[in-house]
Formats: sequence, structure tokens, C-alpha cells
Amino acid sequence: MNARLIAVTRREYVSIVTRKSFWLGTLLIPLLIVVLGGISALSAKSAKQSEKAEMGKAKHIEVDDPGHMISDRFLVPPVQRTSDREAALAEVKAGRIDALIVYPAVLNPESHIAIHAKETWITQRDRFEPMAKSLLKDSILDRVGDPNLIAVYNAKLPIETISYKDGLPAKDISALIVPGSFIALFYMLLIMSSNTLLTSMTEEKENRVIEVLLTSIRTRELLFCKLLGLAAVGITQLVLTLGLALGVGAALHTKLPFNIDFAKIVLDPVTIGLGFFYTISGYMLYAAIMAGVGASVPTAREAGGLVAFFLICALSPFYFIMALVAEPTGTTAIVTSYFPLTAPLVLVLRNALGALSPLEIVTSMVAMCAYIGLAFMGSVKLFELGALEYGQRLSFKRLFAKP
Amino acid sequence: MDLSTPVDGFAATSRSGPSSESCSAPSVSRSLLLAILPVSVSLDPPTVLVEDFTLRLGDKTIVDDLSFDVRRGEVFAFLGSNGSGKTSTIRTLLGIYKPTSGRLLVGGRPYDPSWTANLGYLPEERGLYGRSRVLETMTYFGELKGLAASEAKRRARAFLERVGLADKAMVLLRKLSGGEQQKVQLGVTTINEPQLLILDEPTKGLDPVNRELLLELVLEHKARGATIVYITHQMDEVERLADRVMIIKSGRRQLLGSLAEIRRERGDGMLEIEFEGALPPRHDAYDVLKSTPTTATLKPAVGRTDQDVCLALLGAGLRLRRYRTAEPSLTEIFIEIHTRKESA
Repeated sequence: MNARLIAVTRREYVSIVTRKSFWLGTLLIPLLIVVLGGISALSAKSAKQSEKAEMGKAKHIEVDDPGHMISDRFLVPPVQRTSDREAALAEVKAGRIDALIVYPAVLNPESHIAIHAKETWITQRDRFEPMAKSLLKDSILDRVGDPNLIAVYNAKLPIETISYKDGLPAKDISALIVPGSFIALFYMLLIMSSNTLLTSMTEEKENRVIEVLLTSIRTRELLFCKLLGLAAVGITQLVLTLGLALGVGAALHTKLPFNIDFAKIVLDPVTIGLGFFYTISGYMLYAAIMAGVGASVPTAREAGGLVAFFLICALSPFYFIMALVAEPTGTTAIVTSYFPLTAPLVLVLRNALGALSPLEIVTSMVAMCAYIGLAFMGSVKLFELGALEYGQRLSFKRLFAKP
Repeated sequence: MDLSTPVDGFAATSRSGPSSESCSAPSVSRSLLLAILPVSVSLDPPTVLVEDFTLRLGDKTIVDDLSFDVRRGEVFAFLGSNGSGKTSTIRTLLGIYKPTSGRLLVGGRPYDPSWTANLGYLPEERGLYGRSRVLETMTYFGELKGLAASEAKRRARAFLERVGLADKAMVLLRKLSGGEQQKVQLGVTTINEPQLLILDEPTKGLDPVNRELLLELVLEHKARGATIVYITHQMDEVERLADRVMIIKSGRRQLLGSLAEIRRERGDGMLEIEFEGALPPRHDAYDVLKSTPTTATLKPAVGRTDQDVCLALLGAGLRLRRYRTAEPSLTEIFIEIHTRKESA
């Protein structure tokens, strides 16, 4: 690689990573996602707590049980049996008692339990449901009469499933965590850098620098160097985001609303390497596409519609992710693995699930490289035609005009 | 004569003709040629050679069978109204567009980015990275033109000093005024001290002081031996700088030659005289178009030459203090060409 190409690649990289927006996007957006996730988990926890607290405040709950299903020994204050359902309902309506739980006279699978309660807050309307279910469950178990069986039923018995592949135990689900994180990384990379990709490609055109550049470097060399620079930016962003996520995770793991057993996380270099390859090659594929988009519009601002289209295509596998997870070697998964616009995300997902055969790994890697090459060649063509079309979109007429 | 053998290390091809005085020789020694050819004929191969160049985009012909050469060390003014094909010619010359037909050579071969170390191009549509700093940008372009980063930085600082922008080296380009940006653009263009400078309207938008500075810089590059293709609409700049001029219209060449040749060719034979004595108001040899007691503009009669007029004046006892053929200005020639209707 000669000095000119190195200069262009370096400029591309340095000009992006020295921008404040790059650091804001790289560090703040993942942090924001973590903070918002935390807030959401905390608020869910706090809603549950406030529901419990509201239950604790209840002073008078009546139970109407014409079938005598509920055992008296579970009816402890503030819960008591009523003898007059209508009177109890009138009391609830008047706000003098907290709730009336009505069980059906005959219990069968089609029966339903009615709860009439004093309104407190819209999110706490269901606060008596756990109590109603619990009363019924405890009373049914009470009829079994064997405290040991009741204890077994109520205990959370651990269940361990061991599945075998090729005669050996398959990987633990925790092995999916690291390769699976590339799904989130690809998503974040694309969302965070779609604007960077586009402005990088339109920068020379918007600044009227392209004509001078093209006397020093060929179009394909210019685009190639830009893509190399952008790949380096993508890798930097990936490493920073991963580092940040691990750092935050390690620092806050005791305070997270879910438990992660770091000891169980498996670091399989092949799967992680493939996840890295698919993420970066997907990023480069979209960088090459953005180059074409950038070449065909006068300014980055005018490319909004096209960028949105390609972003939706890139992230569309999220719409059928359940089908992909349920059948990672099914037809949908295979077809979308080879459709260029969906391939990166689907391959990252299937790699995380261990659903790629060695043959598929090879063909998908070759296919990704081919897609990047094709997108690159198309973008070179568009760039040659559109780079000097200052202030106007590249027309179809110009695109297909005879040379 | 069609000659195509290297002379002085250039693999150039030159074609002589009514509008092209240069030539090169295949197997004849340089000294022999010097001995037998007129002094005005240049032996150096042209820095730029355009032959039978046509450019079509779709159904539209942008440039039509254009031929010219630019000789080493000269300032070549390339003129034409807006849309006449100048920029397209330059872009094709520099490999940005592909020609429909014809040959375009720079330094003896089709332009290739590897020649960038010898080229300085200031396009009409120009700009700089607004979010980058002045010194950083100049260094970057210096590196693109093959300079080491340290050398590019040194030259950039020297240039900024020369044009009074030394204190702006670390300023973002978008914070500079239009004139300051244009100076930096010229610095970017000339940082490699190129053999060939192509300047497309370099003084557009400059105030008189900066325009003067820029013309001085152009003359400095000419003095060090650079070949300059100068595109402008400012005819006074052409008259000041250019060795030869070419005017094109609708992609076709209308004129090519030195200023003196063009004026002579385009003059209509009128004479301007300063005299002592009494000018005969009528004479068979001329008509008087304008006169004062000491000056007059005369038009030779049909079939008479300016020598006939001169002899007639001397014969009438006039003492001629000054006598010259009245020549049109370049502006008048340009306007005449661009307002003239194409003949069928």
C-alpha cells in the first residue's frame, strides 16, 4: 500500500475518531441503553413493591365461597368469609371494605374467579389476584393432606437438561452470551454509525474536494481507503463498546436486576471470531452501500429516505427473530442468511446459536466477501458518475446513458 | 509533419499545423534541428497535448474535435464562455472523464494519478474540508502529492507565511473568509511545486489586493519554469500573464496563438497615426474615420495596404510621429466570437 493510500485511510480514520460526536455516540449511547434498561428494571421492581405495599395496607377483604372450596384455616385477618355477597359488594362500592373475592359454587376448568376491589391506581388493579389464586391453590393442596407432598409441590426443584450433539454434551446456554452479544453490537454499530458512514462518503462531494482528490488517487482506491478507514473506525467502536459493556457489567453486576454467573461464560474463540467477522463484514457491506447512496445524492441530508430503507433492511431480522431462534436451520434462516441485506444479522444470530455447519461457515464467509465486493463495485460506478454532480441527484438517465 | 519519438526524455507526440508551431523529431539530432529550424519553433515536447478530442454525454456533444498543445514553461490562457467545454476538457485531460474519441496527453502520456507529484490543479468547483485545520489539510494534500509529511508541513508553513496566513495555521477552514480559503486552496494546489499548474478561474471572488497577490504567485511559478494552463474570464489577467491564448465556443476551437498573432489576425487593418502637418481629408489610399489636429484613425481603401497608406501620407508631406496598426482588445475579440452567429 503506497503512501498516498495510507494518507487517505489514516485521514478517514483520524477525522472520524477525533470528532466529539464519535465519542458521544460510542460511549454515551451504550451507557444510555444500560441506564434506560436499569431504570426500566427498577421501575418494574418498584411497581411490584408498591403493589405489595398496597396489599399490605388492605384492612378488610371478604371472600364469597358458596362451594366451600377455601379452607377456613387460610382465612386469616384481614381476610374473612362473607355470608352476604350483595351486602359485601355494596360495602366495596361504598369504599368501606377493600375487596370482595367471589369463587364459583362449582369449580371446573371453565370456572372463573371475580374480584371486586376499591380503586387505588390503574396499575394496582390486579393486586388481589395473587391472593385469590394462592387461597385456592393452598386449599386444594390442603385436601391432599400430606405435608411432604405439599412441600415438594411448593419447592422450586432444580431441573438440569443435558442434550447431546455428536455424542458429546452440547454447549451450555451461557456459551451463547458472548457470541450473542454481537447481535446487540451489530445493531448498535449500525445505528450509531449510519450517519458517520454517509457523511464520510459525501464529505468530499459536499466540500467540493473530490475533483482535486481524483487527480491524486483513482476512484476505486479512494473508496477502498475510505472503507478501510471506516472498518478501522468500526473495530474501534466495537472494542470500545464491548469494553464499556464488560466494565459496566463487572462494576455493577451485584446491582443488576438479573444474575449473571461470569464463571459459566464460555469463551469459544472460533464462535467469537466468526461473530466478529460477520459483524465487521456486515458493517463494511453497509459502508459500501452507503458509499453508493452518498455518491448519488448531493448532500448527506438528502439521503434520509435511502438510509432509512437500508437500515430497515439491515435490522429486519429482528421482526422474525423468534422464527430464526426456533428454527435456526430452517428455510427462513437459510434464505435470509444468503440475502445480502439481511445476511449479516442472521449470520451473527445463527453463529451465536451454533447453527452454522462448517460448509455454511465457508460459503457464508465467501458470500459476505462477494457482497462487499459487488456493493463496492456498484458504488465505484455510482461514484464515478455522481461524484462531480454537484448540487443534484444522480439521475437514472445519467446512470444508464451510453458512455 | 507527424513526429512521435521521445525528445529530452518525454515520450510525446506533437502535431504541427496552422495553429500549432511546436514539433518534435524522430531520428534527427537536437543540434541539427536547432541549426535548420526557425528560432521560434520549440523543440521541447508539449507538456499537454490534445488531439482530435471529442466528448459526448448521451446525445449532447460537449467538446467537438478539439486539438491544441501547451508548451513547456508557457502560460496558456484557455478561454471560453460558461458552458463552452473548458472544464470538461480539463477533467478529461486529467482522467476524470473518459473521452469519446481523441488523445489527451500530459507529460507525454494519458494522465495517471501517479503523475500527481507534477500536477497542481485548482478546479472551478473547489473547496476544502471545512471541519479540518488549515495546516492539517495542506499537509494531507502534500502527502497525496508524494511529499513526506514533515516536508509538506514545512512548505505549508512557508506558504502561509508568504500569503499572510501564518497565524491561521491551526484554525478550522470553515472559520476562514472566502478569500483566505482561496489562498489556502492555491497553497494546496502548489505545495508540490508542480511542473504543470492548471488554474480554473483562480481569482474569482478575490478582492483587488488578494488578486494582485495571486497573480504575483502565478508569475513566480512561471519564473521557476512551471507550465500554466490558466482559465479565466478576466481578459486583463490574460493580457498580463499569457504567452498563448485559445478561445473555444460550444466545444470547438475558435482561436489559438500568441496575443500578438491573434490581434493581428483579428484586426481589420485600421491605422492609428500621430502626425505633424495637415492631413489630407480625402485620398484614394484611405478613408479618415476619426481625426484631431495631431491624431487620426484611417481605414485603407479597398485593395490598398497599410504600406500604401503610409506612402500616401509621406507623399502628402506629413511628418509621422507614430504609426501603428489598430488592433482589437482581447475582450473585443472574445465578445465578437461569442456573439457571432454560427454560419450554416
